Amino acid sequence: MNEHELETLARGLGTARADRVDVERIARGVVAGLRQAPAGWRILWLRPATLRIAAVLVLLLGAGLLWRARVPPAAPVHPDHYIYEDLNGLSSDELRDVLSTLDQTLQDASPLPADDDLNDLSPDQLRAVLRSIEG
Amino acid sequence: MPAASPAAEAPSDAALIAAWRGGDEQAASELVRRHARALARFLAGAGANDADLDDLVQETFIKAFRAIEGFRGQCQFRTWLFTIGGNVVRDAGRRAARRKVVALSEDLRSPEGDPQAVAEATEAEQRLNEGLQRLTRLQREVFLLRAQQGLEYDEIAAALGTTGGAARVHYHHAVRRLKEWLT
Repeated sequence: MNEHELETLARGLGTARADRVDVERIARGVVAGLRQAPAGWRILWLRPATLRIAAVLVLLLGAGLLWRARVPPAAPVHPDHYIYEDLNGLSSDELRDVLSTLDQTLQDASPLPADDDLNDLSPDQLRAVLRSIEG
Repeated sequence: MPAASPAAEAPSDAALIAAWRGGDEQAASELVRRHARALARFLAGAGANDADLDDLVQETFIKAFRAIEGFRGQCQFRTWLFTIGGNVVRDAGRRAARRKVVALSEDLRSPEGDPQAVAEATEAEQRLNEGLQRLTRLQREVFLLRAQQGLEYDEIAAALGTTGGAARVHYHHAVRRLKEWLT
């Protein structure tokens, strides 16, 4: 058999069978099939690769939650805000009350003035004292 | 009013695809009517079991319409359809092999089991079918697209993601091996 004969034979290959194909039934089946499954998600979820990725994500999420449950969060090195930021709105008397609650600490802290001396301080001086305590 | 042009009477594949993308089911049906028989011939040559041919044609169209976003006009719609059909036949072969009801090699090589098909297929055609199943998939598909469907090498290359030169080489390898088998 030469190449031309082979090509002639190939051109007729499957013709008889293709003539028996029920095209209208196939067209109806295609439309019904396309209506049945919403394209995209259903197909996507059936793919093994998608399932593997989903399983890995679930495992990572679970491991993360487990880690957070077992390891307590570390305390911050610095407080979020300083006390003196709350002192700006206080009057002289209120500032003295605050300082009196710290009396013992203040005395132990040495270079600070004694209680009696606090009465002579202005609000700005009192704030300066508190800032120095806070470090 | 001028007479309607033939193009207006028969919308192009591209127009039907656009209509289908817009939700027109009739456009999908029209594409099936237009290409089903050519696809059936290609699938028969690619090794489709005769009894499953209608189902495989249907499955190919459904897969093609669902993946229509991937068709960017790199080749004709029909040619693109053939490449999807090749995958469908391969998957069907794998399913048949897993079921082990009928051995794949016997099941797909000839139309045995259907008396009508056996009567229609000439001995030479049966031999060609057997020879095609002995080729590599690429050789088989290039041969069918070229010899059975009459496509140019550039069109074949665009559909199969190869070069025109490579398609030509595959074709000649296929012809040589088929001639050896048929002689």
